[in-house]
Amino acid sequence: MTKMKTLKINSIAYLVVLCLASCGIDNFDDPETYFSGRVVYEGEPLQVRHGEVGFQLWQPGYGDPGAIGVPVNQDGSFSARLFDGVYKLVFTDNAGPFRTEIISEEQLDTIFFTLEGDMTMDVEVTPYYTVRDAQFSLSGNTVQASCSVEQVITGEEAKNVERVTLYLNGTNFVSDNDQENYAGANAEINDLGAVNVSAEIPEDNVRNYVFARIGVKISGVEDMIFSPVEKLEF
Amino acid sequence: MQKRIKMKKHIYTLLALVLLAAGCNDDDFLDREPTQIIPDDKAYNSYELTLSILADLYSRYDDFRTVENWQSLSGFNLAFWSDNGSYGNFENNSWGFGSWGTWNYGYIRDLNIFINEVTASEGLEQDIKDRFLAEARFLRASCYFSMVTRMGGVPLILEPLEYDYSGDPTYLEHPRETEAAIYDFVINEAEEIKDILPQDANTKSRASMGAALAMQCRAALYAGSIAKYGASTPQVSLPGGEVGIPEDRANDYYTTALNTAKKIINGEAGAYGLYQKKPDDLADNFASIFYDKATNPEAIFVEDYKLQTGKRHGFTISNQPRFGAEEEEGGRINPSLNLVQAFETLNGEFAPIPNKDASGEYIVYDGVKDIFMNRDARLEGTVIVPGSSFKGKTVDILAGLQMPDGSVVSGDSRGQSKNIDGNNVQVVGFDGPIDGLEHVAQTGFYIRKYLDPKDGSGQRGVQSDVWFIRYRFGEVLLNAAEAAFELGQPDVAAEYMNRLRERAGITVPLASGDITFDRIAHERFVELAFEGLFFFDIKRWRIAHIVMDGAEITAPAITQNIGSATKPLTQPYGLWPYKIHDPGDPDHEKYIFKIVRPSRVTASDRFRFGNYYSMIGQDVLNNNSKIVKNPNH
Repeated sequence: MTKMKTLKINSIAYLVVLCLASCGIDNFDDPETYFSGRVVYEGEPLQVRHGEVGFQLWQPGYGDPGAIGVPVNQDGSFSARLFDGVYKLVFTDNAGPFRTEIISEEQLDTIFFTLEGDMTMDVEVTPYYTVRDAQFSLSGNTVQASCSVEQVITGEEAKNVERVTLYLNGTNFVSDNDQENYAGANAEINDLGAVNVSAEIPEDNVRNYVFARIGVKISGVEDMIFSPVEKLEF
Repeated sequence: MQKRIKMKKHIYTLLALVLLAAGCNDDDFLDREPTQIIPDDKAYNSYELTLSILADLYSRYDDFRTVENWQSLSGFNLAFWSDNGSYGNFENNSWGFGSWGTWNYGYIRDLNIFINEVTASEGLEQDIKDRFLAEARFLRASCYFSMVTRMGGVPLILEPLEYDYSGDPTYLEHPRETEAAIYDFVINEAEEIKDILPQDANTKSRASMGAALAMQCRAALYAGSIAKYGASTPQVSLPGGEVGIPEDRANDYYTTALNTAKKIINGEAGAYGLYQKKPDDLADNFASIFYDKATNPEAIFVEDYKLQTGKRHGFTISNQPRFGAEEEEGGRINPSLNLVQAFETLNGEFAPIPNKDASGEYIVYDGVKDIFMNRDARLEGTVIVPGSSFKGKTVDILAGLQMPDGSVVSGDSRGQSKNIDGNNVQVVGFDGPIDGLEHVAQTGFYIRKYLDPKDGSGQRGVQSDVWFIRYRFGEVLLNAAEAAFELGQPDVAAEYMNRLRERAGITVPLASGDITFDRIAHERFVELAFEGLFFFDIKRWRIAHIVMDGAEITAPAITQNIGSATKPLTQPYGLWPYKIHDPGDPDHEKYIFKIVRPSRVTASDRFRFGNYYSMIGQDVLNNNSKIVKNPNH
């Protein structure tokens, strides 16, 4: 009788141990190293459409390779949680309103780095244009904005400005392709150094604030470059 | 006791020995003909068996669009999808780079095996062999054509690849051909097989001379336009030519397209022509092209179906008008106002559907259908508008009652009645539109193309045998018109387009001076709506990223620039009829129409450069180091 009981208890104990043990064996630990940073030009983060511009990370040496896509936030920052290891960072062709830096002839624009613990990195690129001194003001139902658009890449690879647009949005995700876009108004471009543009907030706006941003569409480049997002309160 | 056990042991040993010995000798016993697999030498020496293998290959035709999948025919905001599971398509902004991808080499391999085996067969007669081979080559070229439109240049594999188990499979890696080389392959194959295939306009579900020429014509046109318009998007090309075709080849391709089309138009491939059996009702005539299977001169190559077999489909079930339907469902494809207003007036003019007059007041119509009068007959051949009927039943599309004080009384269930001034009045149609209620006409329209008017076609137990036309004479005319226009022969283009426009009841013919790129694009847009070709048109003209630029369409903008090839098409709109309720007023029970955007449409579509050619899967890239990625991925 006692023998049987011991057996029972033993077998339950075995089962529990097995269950616990199997959990440990089956699963990898989560990646726990943060790789974060910004995409910058001269130390200033590039303002883009959220989730649209991104780069790929490749980690060689583990069988079939596959890219880890890292999207860039609208303020130019990015963050990924990864395993420690050796990585290559590469932008896909024509990604973003910028050109990547050629590091060396063999390496081209691929950035090599090793992750051992959390790491931040600013990735330097050269945009075709930058949006400087963006100013927004609110008068009545109209948002007034001004900025200067500065050409960075000149010479053979220079590209023209297609349009400069002021975007208004009810949320702080502001771009040419976002939900809840209130309005967009194209600026008349006489002088890229002093662009003025205004847009009306639609009457059905129920919030007491609006988010605004100026974007520059460069001809032949898919992704726009923007000013930082500004929140305007009534 | 012990003795007995010993004895048993001996017997077992003996038995085992006997069995072993017998097994070794009896080869015949083990070597049997399989009963479930037909060996190659039997299969390919029998006409019936080879035909059945070919039938399987036909059924695996690489259809990008098909009536078996209603969504596949109605994308890109030509319609709103009135279906709870599909609203997400109108709530997201862009497509993944992998969308529309294909890498159909399993099918290519089976075709290559078939071609090898039939070539080697000794039991088939020569003329039968020739036809089978030509058919398989047609299917193989069709598959490469489908792949090149979606992936760009792909490896051209014309032999079944066999692994030699040497441990080194690298010799099986083949690089991508140029995009032009794949188009050339398709064009050349069609040229070689066209005379072997039957010159018979009644051979529709198997490859014929007409089918080969139609494929050749379309391929040449596509290649020509990629060569010409690809120059405007240098981002969508690869230095090795796997994507993009040199501009100087455009003229040759257009010439091939025009000459090939002329062969079909002149009857060299058989008695093809426009379907004109019902001259008294031009809308019905147009709709009949897609379901009349009795000596239909328009259809060149089709995927056919048959009732009471496994080969039938539920397009009508999914899309029949909901009210009085044979099944408690339907109404999924709701053509958008964007498409509806693109159909011209009978004078051949672009005009919005006239819902307001010049001063911005709603125009009052006596009948719910009157607003659509004097339009291109293809409108009602393609779309079921309010007040028209299907299977003898008039659709009941009514958004609400317009009250004298300017308010609107409507309901949230189909055919709802409400008490107004003591009377019970129906305030909303049995077909809706009710915003957000699936299976009702949420844009105010249903689709008519491909709907099967036969009894039972809307029943799940019966389904429909309406065929899916892959190539038809109308498209050949349009291909010829486009090629002629690009070659500087607008008079030829006008002549071909006028044949289609005349059939649609348009009274004022186009003059050669009217022919512009936008005209060509527009004619294809309305004639070929929901036939799965629009997507490839905006891709090869490199205007997809302009047409779907990700910007919202505002209410005032929707009715502007009708007929422009680059008019934005990022969101579907609708047109809702309201009945005026004002007893005593002369306008009582008359109709006004309001332009609406279904509330489920919250985002606007954006076609990115990386969408022009679909992403090649990482597994493919890993397995074959010679494959280069598509641009922008």
